Amino acid sequence: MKRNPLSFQIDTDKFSFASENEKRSTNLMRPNSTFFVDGLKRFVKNPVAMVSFIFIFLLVIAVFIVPLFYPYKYDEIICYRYTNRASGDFLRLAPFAYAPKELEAMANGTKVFPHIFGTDGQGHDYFIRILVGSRTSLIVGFFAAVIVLIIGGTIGALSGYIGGKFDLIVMRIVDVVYSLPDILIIILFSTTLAAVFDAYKESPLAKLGSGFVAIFVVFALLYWVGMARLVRGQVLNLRKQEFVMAARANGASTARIVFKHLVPNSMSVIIISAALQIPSAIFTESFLSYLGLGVKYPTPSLGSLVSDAQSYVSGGDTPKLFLFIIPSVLICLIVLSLNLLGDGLRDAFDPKLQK
Amino acid sequence: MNKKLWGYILKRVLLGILTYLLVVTVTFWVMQLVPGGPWTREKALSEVTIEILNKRYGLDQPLFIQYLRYLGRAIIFDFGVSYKHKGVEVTKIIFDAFRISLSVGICAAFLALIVGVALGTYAATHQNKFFDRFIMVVTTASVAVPSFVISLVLLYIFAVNLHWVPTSPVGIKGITPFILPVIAASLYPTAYITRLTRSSTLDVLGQDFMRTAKAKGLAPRRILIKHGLRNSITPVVTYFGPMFASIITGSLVIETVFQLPGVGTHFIDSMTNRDYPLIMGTTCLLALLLIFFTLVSDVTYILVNPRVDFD
Repeated sequence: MKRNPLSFQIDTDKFSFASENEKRSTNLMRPNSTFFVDGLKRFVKNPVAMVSFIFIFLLVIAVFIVPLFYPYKYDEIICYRYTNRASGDFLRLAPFAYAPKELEAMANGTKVFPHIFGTDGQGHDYFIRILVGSRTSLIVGFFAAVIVLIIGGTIGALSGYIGGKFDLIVMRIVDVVYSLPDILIIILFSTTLAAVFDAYKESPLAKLGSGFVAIFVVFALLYWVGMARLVRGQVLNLRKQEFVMAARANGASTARIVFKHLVPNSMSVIIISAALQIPSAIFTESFLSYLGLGVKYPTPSLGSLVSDAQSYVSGGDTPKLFLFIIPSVLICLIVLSLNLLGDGLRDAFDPKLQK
Repeated sequence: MNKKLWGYILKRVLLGILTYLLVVTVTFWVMQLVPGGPWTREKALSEVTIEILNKRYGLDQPLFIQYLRYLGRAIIFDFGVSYKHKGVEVTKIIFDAFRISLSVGICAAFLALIVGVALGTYAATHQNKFFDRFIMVVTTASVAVPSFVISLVLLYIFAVNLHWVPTSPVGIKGITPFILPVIAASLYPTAYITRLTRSSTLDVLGQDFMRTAKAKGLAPRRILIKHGLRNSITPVVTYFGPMFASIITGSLVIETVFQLPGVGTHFIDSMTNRDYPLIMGTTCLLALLLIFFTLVSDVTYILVNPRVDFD
C-alpha cells in the first residue's frame, strides 16, 4: 500500500509477530553450560592430562579384562603343563622365547601361546603377573582413596557443621594424628598383622596378605585427617558465603541448601584431593611389597615383582634385567600419570583456580 | 610478639611430647595383638622357667601396669633387650646404627638443599627457556620414582657395571660406600625443593621491591641473592620436616639395597626376625626424630618469616 510519507497512518507490518529466525538473532546468550561441562571442556584441552587419562584408562581395561581370557594364570607354574616334575627349562625365559618342551609341542602341531614378557624365576608367565600386579596396585589405590573419602568426609563435614566443643575436640585429635609418622605405623601394623594372620591362616583376610590389610587399616586410621581438615574448611567457608544466605533468605530448605549449594561447590575440591590419594597409596603399597610386608605370594604386586627381580640387578645379570625394568617402569608410569591426571582435574574443576 | 612466639613453641613441644607418647602407646598395644608371648620358641620352655622369666621382666603384672611401665621407660629411651642380639640393649643397637643413618641423612639433606635451591632459582630466572622446561619435566617425573627403584638403578650403573663404587660396604673404609645412598636419598627432596624454589622465586621476582632494587641500579646478581633468595627460600624451610620424613622413610630401603648397617637395615631385619623390642624401639625413636624435625622446621619458619600468624 502506497502511503503518504507525512501521514500518521500506522504501518501494521511493524507490529506482526517476530519469526523464529528473528527471535534467535536477538538471543545473545550462548547455550546453557553447566559447571561440569565447562570443566570437561577445559580438561579435554589439557594434553598432558588427557594422555595420562588415556594411559590409565587403557591400563584399567587391560588389567581387568585381559586376565579373563589370557591362556596362562598368574599363579600357574608353566612346566606342569608339560611334565609332572619341576623343570628348570621354564625359568627366566626371555620375552617370546620358548622352552624346549614347548618347541616340541609346537612341532607336534599344538598351539603354544608366546610368553610376551618371558617367564620369571618361579616359572610363571611374566606378562600375566605384571597385569595382575598392576591390578593389585590400582585396587589398593582406589579403595584407599574411597576409605579416606568416606571417613574423612563424614568426620570433617560433621565437625564443620556441628562446630563448638565437638569441632574443637575433633580438630585436636586431627592435629595429633596428623603428626604421627605414617610409614612407621604402617610397617608396625603390617608386621603385627603378619604375626596375627600366621595364627589364623584360614581366615579370608589372611589370604589377602597382611600388608594389604595393614594399608587399608592405616589409611582408615591415619589418612582421614587431611581429608577431614579439607572438608571441614570447605563447609565452614561455604556456610559463610552470600549465596547460601541468599538461598536461605529465599526460603530454601536445609536439604536444598546442602544438595544444591554446598555439595556441588565443595565436591570438586574433595574428589580431586581423594584422587590424589590414589598415587600415594600405590606408592606406599609398592614400598611395603618391596619390603616383603605387602601382598603374599602367589598374589603379585608391582613392588613384590621388583623385589623378586632385584637379585638380577645387584648380581649384574643383564639379560634378566627386563624382569626388574618392566615392573619398575610401570610403577613410575602409573604414579606419574595419576599425579598428572589429578593435577589436570584440579586445573579443570577447581573453581578457585579459574582465572 | 616474643611472648606469643614462646607460647607457640611451648604448645608445639607439648603436642610433640603427646604425639611421642601416643606412638609409644600405639606400639605397645599393637604389639599385644601378636599371638604368643616373648617366650614362644621352637623348643618349649618349662612352665617354671616361663614363670620366672615373666616375673623378672614384669610380665606377670596386669597389662595396664605393664603399659604404664613401658611408657615410663620409653621417656628415658629404655626399650629393653633385643631378642635376636642376645643381651644387647635395643637403645644401644639403635644409637650405634644412628651414626651411619644420620650422616647419610644429613648429607642427603644438604645436597638436596644446595642443588634444589640452585636449580630452582636458575629455572625461575630462565622461565620457559629450554633448561627450565627440562628441569620441570625431570622433577615431575622423578617424584614418581620409588626409592627402591632409584637405588637399584644407581647400584646397577655405578657399582655393578662401572665399578666406580663398591657394591657392598663390608670392609671398606672412607666415604665411597656412602656416595650412592646419599644420592638415592636426596633425589626426591631435590626434586621437591627445586619445584618449591622455582615457584617461590617466580613469586618474588614479580614483587615491587625487586623492581625498586633494579631501579636503584643494583647488579642483577646482588638483587637475586640479597633480595630475592632471602624471600624465596622461606617456603623451603617449611619443607624441612617432610624432607626428613621422606629421607628417613627412603633410608629404610636404601640402606637395605646398599647393605649399610644403619637404623633402616636394623628395622627391616628386626621385622623379618620378629624381634619385637627392636621393632618397638626403632618405631618410637624414629617417630621422635620425625616429631623433632617437624617442630624445628615449623619454628624456623616463623623465625625467618615474621609475617606469619600463629595458629
